[in-house]
Amino acid sequence: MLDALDLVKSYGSTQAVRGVSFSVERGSAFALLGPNGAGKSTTLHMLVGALRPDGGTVRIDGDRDPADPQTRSLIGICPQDLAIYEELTAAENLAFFAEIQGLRGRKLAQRVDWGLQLAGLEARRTDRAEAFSGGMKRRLNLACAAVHEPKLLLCDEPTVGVDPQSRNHIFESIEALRADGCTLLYTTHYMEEAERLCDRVAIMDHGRVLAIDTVDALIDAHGGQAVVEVELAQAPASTDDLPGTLEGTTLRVETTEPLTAIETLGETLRRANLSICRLRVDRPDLERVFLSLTGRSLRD
Amino acid sequence: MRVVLIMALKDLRLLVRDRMSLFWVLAFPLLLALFFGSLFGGDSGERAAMPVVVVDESGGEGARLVERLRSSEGLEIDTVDALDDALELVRRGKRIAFVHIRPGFTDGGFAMFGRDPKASATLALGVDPARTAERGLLQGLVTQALFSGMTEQFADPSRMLAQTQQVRKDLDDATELESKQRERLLTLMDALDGLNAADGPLAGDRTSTDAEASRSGFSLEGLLEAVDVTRDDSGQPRSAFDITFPSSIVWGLMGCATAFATSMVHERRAGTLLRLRVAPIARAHVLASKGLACMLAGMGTSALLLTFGVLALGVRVGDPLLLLLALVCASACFTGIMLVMSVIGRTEAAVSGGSWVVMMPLAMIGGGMIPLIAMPPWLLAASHASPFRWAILAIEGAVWRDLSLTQMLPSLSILLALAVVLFGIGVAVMRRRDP
Repeated sequence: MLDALDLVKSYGSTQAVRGVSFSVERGSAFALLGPNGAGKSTTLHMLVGALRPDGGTVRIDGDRDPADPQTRSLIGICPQDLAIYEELTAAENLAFFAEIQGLRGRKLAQRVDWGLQLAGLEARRTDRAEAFSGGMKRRLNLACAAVHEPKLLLCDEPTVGVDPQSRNHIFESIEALRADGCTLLYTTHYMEEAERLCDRVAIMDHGRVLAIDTVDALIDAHGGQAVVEVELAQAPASTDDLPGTLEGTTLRVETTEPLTAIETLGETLRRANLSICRLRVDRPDLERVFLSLTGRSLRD
Repeated sequence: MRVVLIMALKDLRLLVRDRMSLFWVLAFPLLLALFFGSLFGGDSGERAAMPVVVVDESGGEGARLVERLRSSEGLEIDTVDALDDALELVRRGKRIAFVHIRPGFTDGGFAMFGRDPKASATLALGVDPARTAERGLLQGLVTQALFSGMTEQFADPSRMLAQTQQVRKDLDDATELESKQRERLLTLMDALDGLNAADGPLAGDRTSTDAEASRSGFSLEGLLEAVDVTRDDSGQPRSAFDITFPSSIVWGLMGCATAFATSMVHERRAGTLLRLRVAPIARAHVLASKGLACMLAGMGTSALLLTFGVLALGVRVGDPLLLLLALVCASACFTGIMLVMSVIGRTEAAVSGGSWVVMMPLAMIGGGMIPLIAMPPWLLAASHASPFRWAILAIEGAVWRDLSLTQMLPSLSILLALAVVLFGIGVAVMRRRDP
């Protein structure tokens, strides 16, 4: 559905995007994961033709150019900023963005109703957006992007600054759109969003793609082993039989099979007559992948 | 075209729902028109009478002058006995001026004959320095009162005779006067006595009035007629609001330009412009919709202001079709200005502030604040560079100047040329900024 090949973009002497390439399969969900300033938004703007790349090409739905208006009708974009008109009502916002996509008549009315339902704003359809909470505006922002039934939906950090309830609503909306066959490109610096919503993830930093794969494959390749962490009731008299590393009363064991490791550890501790206060398993995740690839945290 | 209309209607809806923009677009120009219209005399077109205090120390000779000053519609006269009191009233701003009729004052035209040039004047006028604008008008009204005295004198044979005798006496006393000059003046006095005795045109009743003086052939009345240059078929004088509404309309157009320039930047910053650019529409559609909305808002504002002016204040429009043409050209010009303003900054605050910085000087030199007639020559020359000047002239041409299409063509052409040039600059800068 979407092919980006060797995209390059500079602002003055700053290279924002340095040779980014990836493909998004039709009906799949793809995440660009990286910290702020990684080049995600710039890449997204080049993908939709709003920004002309200094180098590289973008092809959509086969061999179509995103600068072509007919191609753009296949695309919906949910910008990072709240790209809605505060002085218009929820229904007027949806109707406006649907109308400029060519919808009219009964189809227009149906899609406005659908958008209000997607955003959970049926009861607030005649209220101006300026009266909405941040979460409601975010939901309306997403609905405006999808109101014309795009085949490719690009979401640029759509959950920035929203409450957990609205975030969950947005996740459910995106999952519903995916279930309807919409292809999704999602930029975020929240690894849990990428893990939950996307099949494949490209990890970006400093304008480059560091790794692309499925979430599991990335974790397998770059996440390292799971960590079983045990808080002991008292410090052991001897550490000779204990696996892993001990710091004070905290015992950490790295393993590829956490369950087996817990069973073995339980036997060892019973024999040593040691009791457990707390047990925690840290599975490797995309945060660990990013740390492994860049040497720093996603939120640094 | 449909998508351009949809976007333009959206912009108009946003404008109508934004109270602050509405104030600048509609309320502010209306307030300006009402304020200046009222200041210039409202619907009567007349100035308020100027309060002037008179000190008469002539011993009775100045009484007629005082009466004539009182009868002047442009003056509100009261009298005090002491010059110090009159000075104090002017200094404290309670009167615009004082007229001091000094001892030795002679009413009538003969005061000019046989005067010692070195003798001090017998009539003085003191004007509040803060009211220098009225000085010329005030001097004119006092002079008019003096000349009216001369008219009365020519129509009264006994006063004429007494005055010619007095002048002869003064001429005898004026030792510094050249003999040839004295002879000429004495000959003139003889001629006046001869005309008076011959029951000629100067003769009249001793208690002559202005009307009788007029019949006798000596009157200033009718010598100079004040003609209203603001032609109107109804024959009624133009209202001051007829004059102030054209400039208020241009202020409304400026308000629209500023509001839409700011909205353009807001769209860019908020991300809605990104949404529009990702939609299957050309960039030209987005620009055209902004331009169309700005033009429609300008026309709508003008229509509302004029409707209010016509219905509530009796403003009369000379030629509605020419007015429509003038409004289209002026709105197009200010739409061009809007596009340029929208690219001069990257934030709403920058554009809004920048707009005022650019527009206020243009308004000031273009007649939006100071009337063109009140400008010094260098500023008048500079006003040619301001679109305000051409917009006001075009609208005035259709409202009260009663200009023909041919006479309005220079203003209309300049407005359209400015529109094209400014639109081109705006689009070029925008393309460079957002390729």
